[in-house]
Amino acid sequence: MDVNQKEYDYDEIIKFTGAGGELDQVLSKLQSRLKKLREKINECEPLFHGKGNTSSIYKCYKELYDKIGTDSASGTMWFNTKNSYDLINLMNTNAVSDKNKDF
Amino acid sequence: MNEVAYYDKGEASLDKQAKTFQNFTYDNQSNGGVLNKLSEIEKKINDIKNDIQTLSGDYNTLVNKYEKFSNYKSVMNKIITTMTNNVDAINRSYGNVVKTATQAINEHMSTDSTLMSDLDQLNRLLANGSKTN
Repeated sequence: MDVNQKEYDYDEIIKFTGAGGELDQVLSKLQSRLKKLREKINECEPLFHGKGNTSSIYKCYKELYDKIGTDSASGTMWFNTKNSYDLINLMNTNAVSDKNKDF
Repeated sequence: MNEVAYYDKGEASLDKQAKTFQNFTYDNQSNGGVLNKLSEIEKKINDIKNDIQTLSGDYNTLVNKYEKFSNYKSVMNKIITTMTNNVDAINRSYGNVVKTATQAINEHMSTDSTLMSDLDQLNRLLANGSKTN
């Protein structure tokens, strides 16, 4: 048995980080809720808004959208969701690679 | 690298911008009304807070169980800290929308007494928001 095999249970990590695993499920939920939140804000805007782009209400909505952000906008929710997605994939890839080295 | 986890590329890259309007509007009638929407927004924010806690717990499980995963710890901590700060900022901005709605109702109540019940509900939303902050 390679020393790597003693470090962790590959199959457990592959399952935990793989499609349908615990981390995939929580990240999927988070993404779905971020989308729903954006949609709800979108639906709220026509019902309650100020005039133009200098009103305090507009600024609140802008802050909400800015914090949700995109995966290319550093420091936003989506940027960090992407980081989390990349990390999960990396852990999965490394676990598969470590397992293959031993067989 | 394997791409095993689900990722909504369309939503992730979507440019999210506030809309501009010609006039002030407070519509408590159509499409479920403002209060209904604000309440739904609050629920989503709380759901997202719970998701971040679950993600943090899952990361800790890995790090605590296997020393090998301590290499990922600083990245995990940064993700969770930034997400937590973001959702707190989202909650504050949401609270400001509710406060602004409350101010608007206060100003319009002298001409429309039916808005009194909206004010009660907005105050309840504000109180809930301050509890979750």
